[in-house]
Amino acid sequence: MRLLAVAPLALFMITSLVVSVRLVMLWQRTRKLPELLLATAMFSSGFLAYAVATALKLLVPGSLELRRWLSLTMLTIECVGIVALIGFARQVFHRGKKWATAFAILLCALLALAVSAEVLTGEILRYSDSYPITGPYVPLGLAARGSGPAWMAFECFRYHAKLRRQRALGLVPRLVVDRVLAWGIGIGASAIAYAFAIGHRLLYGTGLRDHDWALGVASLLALISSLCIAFAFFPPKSYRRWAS
Amino acid sequence: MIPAARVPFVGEAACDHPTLGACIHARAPPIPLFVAIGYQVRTVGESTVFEWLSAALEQRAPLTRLEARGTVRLVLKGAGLEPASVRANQMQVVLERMMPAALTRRGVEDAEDLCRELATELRERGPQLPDADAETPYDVFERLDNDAIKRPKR
Repeated sequence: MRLLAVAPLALFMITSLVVSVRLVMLWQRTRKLPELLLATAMFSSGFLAYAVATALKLLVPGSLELRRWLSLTMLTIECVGIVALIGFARQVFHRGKKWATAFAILLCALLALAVSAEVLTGEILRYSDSYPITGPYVPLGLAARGSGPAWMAFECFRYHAKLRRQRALGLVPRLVVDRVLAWGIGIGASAIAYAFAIGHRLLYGTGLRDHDWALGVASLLALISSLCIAFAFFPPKSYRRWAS
Repeated sequence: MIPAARVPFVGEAACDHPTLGACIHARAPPIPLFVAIGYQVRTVGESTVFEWLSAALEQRAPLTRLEARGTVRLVLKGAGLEPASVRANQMQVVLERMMPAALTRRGVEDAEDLCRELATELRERGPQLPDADAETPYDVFERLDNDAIKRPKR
């Protein structure tokens, strides 16, 4: 059962790794910032942070110092990815708008503040053990990190609504309209996973891995996310033909 | 309807720059590190084609400047487009498909003819109009495809 629940998470990691590598290749050709930001986000948050988190879970009986160091590494890597995602949302959907720059800075500041609070209070260790949380810092940290995917997903859905109107006039191809929606659902599933983890922490105090059903929900969200991102970046040939 | 007169493109009267509208899209000098990673500075303003159409409507239809700009804005919103990034080919479709009804609702007589006239003018002059300098989210998502890696550089 556990193995079945972990498989979609592994699929999510592989999808993130493959898409980020391809995005870097695309960036090498285009030299455009959005590709680089999305590649950074996918690689850091979707692959590397998960890899470190997995190592952390395997090392639960390890020394306190090792666990603290690994937890900090995981959070730092994850935050780099979230900052890149915030940067993508700002750069692509609201370039040149002052309010968006201010909002992005605010989200990054909240991110830094939340991680600092987790480290200073020692709550950072709750990511690697099964003790319940003792303060609001872990849920706040999860909320701060979930804000990046939430913003990105919101912008994708908003832009998808605009593209649908453009499509009705024959201005844009279906392929791109569906791609924006797929990215929105893929990143949105990640945002929901953060919200779910917050709810679980508030109810039980512990991480998702302490309940099989919770791990199952997280796996389902990871599956949705990886399928949508894979579909957005590698649309099947038959679909491509149908859409064009 | 006011007789058709050639509506100047934005920037034409303001400077002698050979590229129409170049003045309103003036950029700050690029920072080398930003250029290296692909960052583009964008000045926020309405696109040249938006300014042109608003001015044309103000001149040729019984609409004030505010009404003309507001009408174009509303129609663009209905089409899922933005005044800052709308391009000439998109505006042409909007003129043909959506603008006549919007102008008729605002009491403009011969809205169909006026829009047809403007669309023809835009078709002829469109290639001369500078597109909004920054890429839109559409441009980005159009590239986010595995096949784009193999595509020749544009």
